[in-house]
Order: sequence, then structure tokens, then C-alpha cells
Amino acid sequence: MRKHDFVASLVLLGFGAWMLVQSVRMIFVDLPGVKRVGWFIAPGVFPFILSTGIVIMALSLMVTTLRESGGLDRTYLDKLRNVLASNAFWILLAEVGLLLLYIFVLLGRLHFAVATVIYLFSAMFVVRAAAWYTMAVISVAVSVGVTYLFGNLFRIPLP
Amino acid sequence: MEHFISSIVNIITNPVTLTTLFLANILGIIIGALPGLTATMGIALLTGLTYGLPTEIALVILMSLYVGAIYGGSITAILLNIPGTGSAAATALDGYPLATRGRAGFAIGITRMASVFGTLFGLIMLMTIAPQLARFALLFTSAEYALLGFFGVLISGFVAGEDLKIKGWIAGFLGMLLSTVGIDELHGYARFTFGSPLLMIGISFVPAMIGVFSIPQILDNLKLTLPPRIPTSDSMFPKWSQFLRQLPNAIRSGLIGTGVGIIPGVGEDIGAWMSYFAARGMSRKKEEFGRGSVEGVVAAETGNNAAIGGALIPLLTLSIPGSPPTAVLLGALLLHGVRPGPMLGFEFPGFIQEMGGILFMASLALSICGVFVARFFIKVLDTPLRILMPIIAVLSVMGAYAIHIRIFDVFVMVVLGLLFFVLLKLRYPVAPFVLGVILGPMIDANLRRAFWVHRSFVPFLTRPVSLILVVAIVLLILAQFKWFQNLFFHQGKTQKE
Repeated sequence: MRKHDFVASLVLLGFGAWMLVQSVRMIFVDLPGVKRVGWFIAPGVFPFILSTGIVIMALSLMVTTLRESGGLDRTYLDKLRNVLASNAFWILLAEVGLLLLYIFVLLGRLHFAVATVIYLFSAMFVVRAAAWYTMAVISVAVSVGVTYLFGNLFRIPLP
Repeated sequence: MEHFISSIVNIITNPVTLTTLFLANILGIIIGALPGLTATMGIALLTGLTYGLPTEIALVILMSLYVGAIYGGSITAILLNIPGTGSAAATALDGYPLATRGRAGFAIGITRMASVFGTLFGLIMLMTIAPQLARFALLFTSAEYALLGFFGVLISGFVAGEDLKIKGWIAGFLGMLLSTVGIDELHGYARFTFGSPLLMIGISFVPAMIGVFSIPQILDNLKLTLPPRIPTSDSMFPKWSQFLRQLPNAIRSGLIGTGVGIIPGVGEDIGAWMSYFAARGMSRKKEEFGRGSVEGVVAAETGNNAAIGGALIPLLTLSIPGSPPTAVLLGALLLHGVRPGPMLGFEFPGFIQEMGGILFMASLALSICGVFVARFFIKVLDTPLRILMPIIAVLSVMGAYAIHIRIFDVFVMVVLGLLFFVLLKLRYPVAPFVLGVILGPMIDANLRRAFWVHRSFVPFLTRPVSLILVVAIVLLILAQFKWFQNLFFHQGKTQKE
């Protein structure tokens, strides 16, 4: 766990530092109110406090994880390789991929009901949820139900 | 009081409202009972889906679902030894052993009675404490609001962080930082928008909440297979005398649950555990705990349901949610144009009493629906999660989309959901993040407004309430350092010696 935390602390540190730079820019902005009252009411003050906090906490997390785990080593990379090779990981990746495909590609290009049938059937198929005809019936029934409920009853324009 | 009664009368006399109250309660119990679906996720999902409904009906649905879901977790805790929600984890310790002894029906019945009692106890506390606290909160200025919001996020991170406390704070800070995206409220300045018009109106908190609560659960539960449940063969109606024997225990648990509920961002889970531990500590039959103690089951269930009323107290009076579900509820209230806080009594007179009325009706509905679900809908628990989870994903998409009819919100939901799928694996808690997203704009605006009015930092240290909050924040931060802990530990040791 701590080795994962070390990687996370590096990412957080980078993110925090980048946000810090952006916030500082927003502290010294040319706004009439800021000029009159002072820098401490600038739009960048709150993000500055928060990003400074994230940088400090990321550094603290890094020190803790280094102390407890000794940073990255060969065993960590081997373990990571094992996880990546596992069946569960690929199923998860497929499910994430299907969700992203549904949201970023299918919705808006196909009719909502059709896109939903495709997503539901394939998401259930990947985990072998039931017999194919059961999955097909469930996918169509849910898709038609959701489309009718939101599109007709709630009158929400579907994506 | 008249608002409380009129709210109850309105619900009873309106068939549509009454039906939705019962349906939402049943849905809540089922959501709570299904492992992987939580009260918070249910409320987040329904917040999006009920956006177009009138405020009163939307609140009836959300509150009834909330009460039902907190109770529902105990059904699977008893029948499967898997708590449907985190708040039912303590119930499983004694509920499941009771079920294995052929008393599953009794365990379900007594937890239902304890849950109804707990909810009503929390309601009484809400009606008693909230108006006083609201009156006190009128003394607050921008400085106090900014500090209180910040303290709320910090304490939530402190309590919710299962691993390192700092992870809870990081989650809270990330949430607050995310809330700064978009046009700034005070100057109209575009922050972190990178020229994108979509980011100008900011990150909407409902899609963010739906994403972080539902996507990780959907992905985690796709591979989960539930064990067979224990059949309920005995009566689900315990005698009143059996419950009355537990009354002192229930009252104590109600007090603890409400007290824990009031603490920002803590909520029902801790309420249940603390009530359980208190019951065990004070019981004459300590050896029965963990082996099917009725006291344990009653304490845990009273504690978690009493926390509902407790969590509503800071939500309605200070705009600081007491638990993760109330954090989502705050979002729902804001969405419907209700701004909780000390001004609530002026803007919406009698709103707290009306919420009390809804809570009262929800607890009554629970006493009926609890039996109904346990008897007729119990087979829903046999639905494979592999079928249920993709359906939840589609509903999450619709929930995120329906608020602004904007596909960008769905993108936000999925991106944040996937981010938190990873962060949850690294044991970063969700609650402080959501609290940060919701309270961030309030802290930001009040902090700078305080600076603008006073033109210095001094009032933060000279006003009594601000000073107390500053000291509390500093102590909370210092408590993370070993030298500070050692200082107190060493002193404690010396005093003992």
C-alpha cells in the first residue's frame, strides 16, 4: 500500500505545484477591487491556500511512505506486473472501456435506447451475468423503460 | 409546531405524496439492503432524477429513501452477514448470529423497531436543538462561516480517513479545489477554465457526487457474488415488551447517535459503532456480544438511525452536513433553491419543522415498509449484482445528465468516478471530497468577503467564535504531529503515575 502511496504522493505533488503556480497568477491580477483593497481578496487566494496545503501534504505523505516502504523497488514492479496480467484486471479494464465507449462515443451518435441496449448487453456479457437471451431481454426492457420514463414521463431530452 | 403538523397533514391528504413516500421508502430499504449500494449513492442518484419534481415531493422522496436505506443495510447484515451499508456493519456482529440460531425474523423485527425509535429520537433532538442553534448562528459573520466550513471539511477528513488521516484532508482539499473551477462569485473572474466555455459555469456538484459514489461501487461489485441468505421462518413482529426491555439502551444509543450525527461529516456508521461499544461497555451480559446479543443489535440500529436527525441539525442551521448522505442532501436542497443556514428561518419560515414532519412520516413508513420488504421484496436480494450494476450505471448517466441537460456533466461524472475508483483503492475517503466540493464555494466567498470587510486577518482572532474555530483547526492539524501526540501522551502517563 505504501508504495502505491509513494506514487500517489508524486502525482499529487506535481498537481499541487502546478495549481500553485496557476493560483499565484490569479493573486496578482489586474482587478479594480483587488487593486483598491489588497491582494488578499483576489480570486487566487483560496486556490493558493488549497494548493499550498496539497503540496505540503503530498510532501508529508512522500516522507511517510519513503520511511515506511523505502520507495519503489523491483518487488513492487513485479507485483504490479502480476496485477496487470490477471484476468480480473482485464475484465475491469473492459468494463471501464465499455462505460467510456457508451458515454463518449455511443451517446449522441446513436439513439439513447439503442446505445443503452448495446452498453447493457456488452457490460453484462463481459462478466457472464446470465444466459445471452436473459441478458438480451433485460437490456431491451431496461433500455425501453428508462427511455420511456425520462423521455416521455419526465420529458427530459435524452442524450 | 403548526408547520410540523401541517407538513404531516399535507403528506397524508395528498395521495401522490403519500404514495411516493412509501415507494421511496421501499426503494431506500432495497438500496440499503443490496451490498454495494449505499444511502449516499441512492440519494445522489435520486437527486438528479427528481430534479424536475416539485420541491416538496423531491424532499419527501429523498428523506424517505434516506431513512429506508439506513435501515435496509441491517437486512443483509442479518441474513447474509454482509452489511448492506457501512452503518449496518455493527448490526451484523450480533444480527447474523441471531439469524443462524433461527431468529432471523425476530432480528429483522427488532432492528426495525430500533430504527423507527432511533429516527424518532433524532427527530425530537432536531426539533429541540436546531432552532436554538439557528438562533446562535445568526451571530456568525463571514469569518465564522469560512472557518466553520473549513473546520467541517477538516474534521470530516480526520474522521473518515481510515488509513493516514492526511488522506482524508487531501481528499477534502481536492474537493475544495475542484469547486473553485469556473467564474468566481466575487469578481466574475474565470478560474482554471483554460478558455473552455463548458468550464465557465463550474463543476456541478450533483454529477461529481453521483460519479464518486456510484462509479467505484459499480466497478467493484460487478464481480461480487453474494452468499445464499438465511431464510426467515420465525415471526417478524417482536413483542413490545421485548423492545421496552431495551428502552434504556435505546435511549442511550439515541443520544450517542444524535451526538455523533451533529459532528460534521461523521455520520451514521460511527453513530452505530459508538452506540454498539457503549452498549457493550455498560451491559451486564457482555459475553453475549458478538454471539447474538439483542442489546447489540438494538444499540447499533438505534444509533445509526438517530444519527439522521443529528446530521440534519448542522445541515439545516449552519449549512454544514453532519454525514455523507446529508452532504448530498445539501446539494439537493441547493438545487431546489433552498439555502440552509441561519437565514433559512427567514427565507423559508417553518422549513425545519416541515423537514421534521417529513422525517416523522418517513419513520412511520419505515415501520410498515420494513415488514413489506422483508416479506415480499426479499427476493430482490437474490438479483445478481452483475445484472444490477450496469443498470445502475445507466441510471447514473441519466442522473448526472438530467440536472442541466448537458452531456459535459456526464463526462465530469465518469472522470471523477474513475479517479475515485483509484483513490478509494488507495484508501482516500469520499466523504471529505464531497463535503469539499459542496462547502468550497461557501468557504471561498466568505473568507474573501471577511478580508474585504475587515481589510485584515485580525478579526479572525478577536471574535470569540472565530477564535475558538481557529484554535480547533490548529489543534486538529497539530494532532497529526508525533511530537504533539507524545506531549499529551507523556503528560497523561505522568499524571497516572
